[in-house]
Amino acid sequence: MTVDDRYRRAAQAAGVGIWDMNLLTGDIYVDPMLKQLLGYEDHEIRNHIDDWGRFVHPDDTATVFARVQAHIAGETPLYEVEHRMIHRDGSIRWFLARGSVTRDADGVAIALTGTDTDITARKRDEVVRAAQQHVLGMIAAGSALGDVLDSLVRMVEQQSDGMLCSVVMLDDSRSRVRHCAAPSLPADYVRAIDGLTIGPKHGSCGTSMFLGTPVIVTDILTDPLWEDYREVAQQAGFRACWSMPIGSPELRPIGSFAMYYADPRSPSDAELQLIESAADIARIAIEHQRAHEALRHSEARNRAMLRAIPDWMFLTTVDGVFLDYHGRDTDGLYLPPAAFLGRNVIDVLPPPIGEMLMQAFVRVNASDEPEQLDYVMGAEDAERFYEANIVRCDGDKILSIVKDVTDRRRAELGTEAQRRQLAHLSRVATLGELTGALAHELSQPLTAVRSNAQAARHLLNRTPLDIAEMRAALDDVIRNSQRAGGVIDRLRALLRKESAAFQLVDINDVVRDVIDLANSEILSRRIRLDSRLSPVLPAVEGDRVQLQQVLLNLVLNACDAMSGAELNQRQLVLATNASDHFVQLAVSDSGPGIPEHQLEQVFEPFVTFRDKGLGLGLAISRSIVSDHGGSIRAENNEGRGATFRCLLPVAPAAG
Amino acid sequence: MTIDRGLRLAIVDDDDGARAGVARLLRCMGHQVHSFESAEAFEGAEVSVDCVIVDVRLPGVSGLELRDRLRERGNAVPIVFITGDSAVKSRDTGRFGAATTVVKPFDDETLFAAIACAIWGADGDGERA
Repeated sequence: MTVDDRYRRAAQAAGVGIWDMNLLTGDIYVDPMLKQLLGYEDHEIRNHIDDWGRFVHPDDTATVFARVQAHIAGETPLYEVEHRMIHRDGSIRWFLARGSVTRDADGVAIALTGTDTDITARKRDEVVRAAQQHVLGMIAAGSALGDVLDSLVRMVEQQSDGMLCSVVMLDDSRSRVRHCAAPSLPADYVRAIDGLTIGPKHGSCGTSMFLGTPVIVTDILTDPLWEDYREVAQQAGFRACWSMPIGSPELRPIGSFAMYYADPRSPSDAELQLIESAADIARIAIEHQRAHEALRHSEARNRAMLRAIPDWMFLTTVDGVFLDYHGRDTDGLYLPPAAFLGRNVIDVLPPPIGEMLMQAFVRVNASDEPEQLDYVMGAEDAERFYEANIVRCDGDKILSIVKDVTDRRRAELGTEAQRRQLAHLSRVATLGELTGALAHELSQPLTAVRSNAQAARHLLNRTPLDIAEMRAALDDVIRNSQRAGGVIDRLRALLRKESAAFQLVDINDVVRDVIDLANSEILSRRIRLDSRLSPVLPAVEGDRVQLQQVLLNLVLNACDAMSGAELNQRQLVLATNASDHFVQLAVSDSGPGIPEHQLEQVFEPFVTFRDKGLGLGLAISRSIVSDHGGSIRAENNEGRGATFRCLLPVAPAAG
Repeated sequence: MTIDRGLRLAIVDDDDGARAGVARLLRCMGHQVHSFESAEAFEGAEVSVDCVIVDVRLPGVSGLELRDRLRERGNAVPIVFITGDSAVKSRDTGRFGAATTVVKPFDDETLFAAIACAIWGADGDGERA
């Protein structure tokens, strides 16, 4: 092998081709290998700079020319430039041109001689890496996804002449296509494609997204995949379309990266690699964006949570040293942060509270179970109530979430007093005072009955019998027994007269009031309360307190009925609804129900099937309800228990 | 003192039925009975009796007030209260201490025992000032 041969072989192996240009004539010797790299036979490109120069990418000619001139002028020791060349098929090759000038004896440049090295692969890698960097940079800078993908598309388009690219994504339903970045595609085409579904015969992108595999269509006009979309593609001037799905292999694709060409063609390995990288970068961009969004979302959510829920959060060591705090505002802090951070709870807070907290910290640390503490701080007339939720955190720290619950506590105390008063009233009214009044009222005629009867018995011992006196005694017995019956009626009348103040009443409000009153009772008996209140309920004309009495009576009866039931079988349902003329209030329990023959009997006075109470509640309830123009009845449920249904007439429309 | 003749009794109760019934009963048991429908009527009549049976609750002057007024005037007549309210029995019944009280409706024997008790306890009753 000659030296020349060796150089030639070595050069070829390295992808290096020699060129030699006569600066005076423009003739240039170009290594045939270089022409081959561009897809041409040696004879197809004339060895003149005018011809060879045509294959330099138009965007790079100015740079190349400037570098040549600079070197010839003696500014640079070496001519060196990276520039693009255009392959026969329109794709781009990157050449590294290196050379040096030859001068004649007078120093005039007469030749430029050098090499071109095909650095397409390296360049592509560089471009890919640069694109990745750029894209990631854009994401980190918070650029919108659309801008990021746009940028990516343009960068890829630069790699090949005449190639147009786009990124399409699937919408939230994962079935329809939407262009996400298509800066160079015709608008009509984009509009035509957006919204189309994906499927096995849906063009390149639709099919690739459906199947999850790359789809290469070299000629749109003949490929069956484009059957339905041929016209659209033709109008846009596309003949070839290659699509790479975007997304991890395990999951369904979220989109695809497409390359379009005006001529039918199939991709070279280089181009396949490019489209793969592009799809990968697009995936990174999209995933980053989503993670970023999710993070922003959860950060926003956390901030919202902190703002909304606690007033303060304190982080302390297990021993009680304040490490950190977070507060909605610094007002209302017992001490400013500088005064407590780093110091111990015992030293900072008033003694009983500090100790209580310390003990709680120890317990919480040992059991890892959260605890809730209530405490009060502040001067007599300016007390504030606090609720602290204490949890173990990070293994060796304690997090205390503190809320100022003064308003709620005050309201509770107020309600508590009100509650007790109302409970007292209802109980006293139904039992104590009734008993007194009743007993007294009945004792009179009963005294008369008994005294007269016993008098008659004494009279029987007399001889002769005083028949007239005996008859008079018995007459009195009869008359007074009838009186006793009348007492009940008068008693009912007495009750009703006491507080009949009729006005417009919302039965749902009555239900809520009574739930409030009976709540502790219901809770302590482990009864599950289900309130089904019709949202639209016409008003009823009545006495609110009396209606509360009725409902309270029904609710307490229901609770009593379930006292024998299993703990998890205790359900109380309060329901309201309305028909044209009536509002219905129903109280259902899951107790044993009422024997059929007693369904009416329960409403009679003094009828009680329990060992406590006088058995007046339902009698009075019925009398109150009938005073309101309504009715009340009992029925057994299909399943367990009984329901008391109370119908009250709707108030006549005003005006 | 043995009670073997009929006693002279007064019944003061605003309820017609109860008053008439109790009066009949006591008469049938062999006693003389004067009936009054109010404490004022009794005071106005100024009858002398062995025992007054009076309802605690009366319109106007109540049974308790009647006792106080009698005691203040030095009248030590034995008194038996009758009442429809069982709670009265355990309550403090005026500055003259606890009194014999019977709850309506009562048996003849119960009433008579209370009358006997009031009469036999009369010695100590009037001496409290």
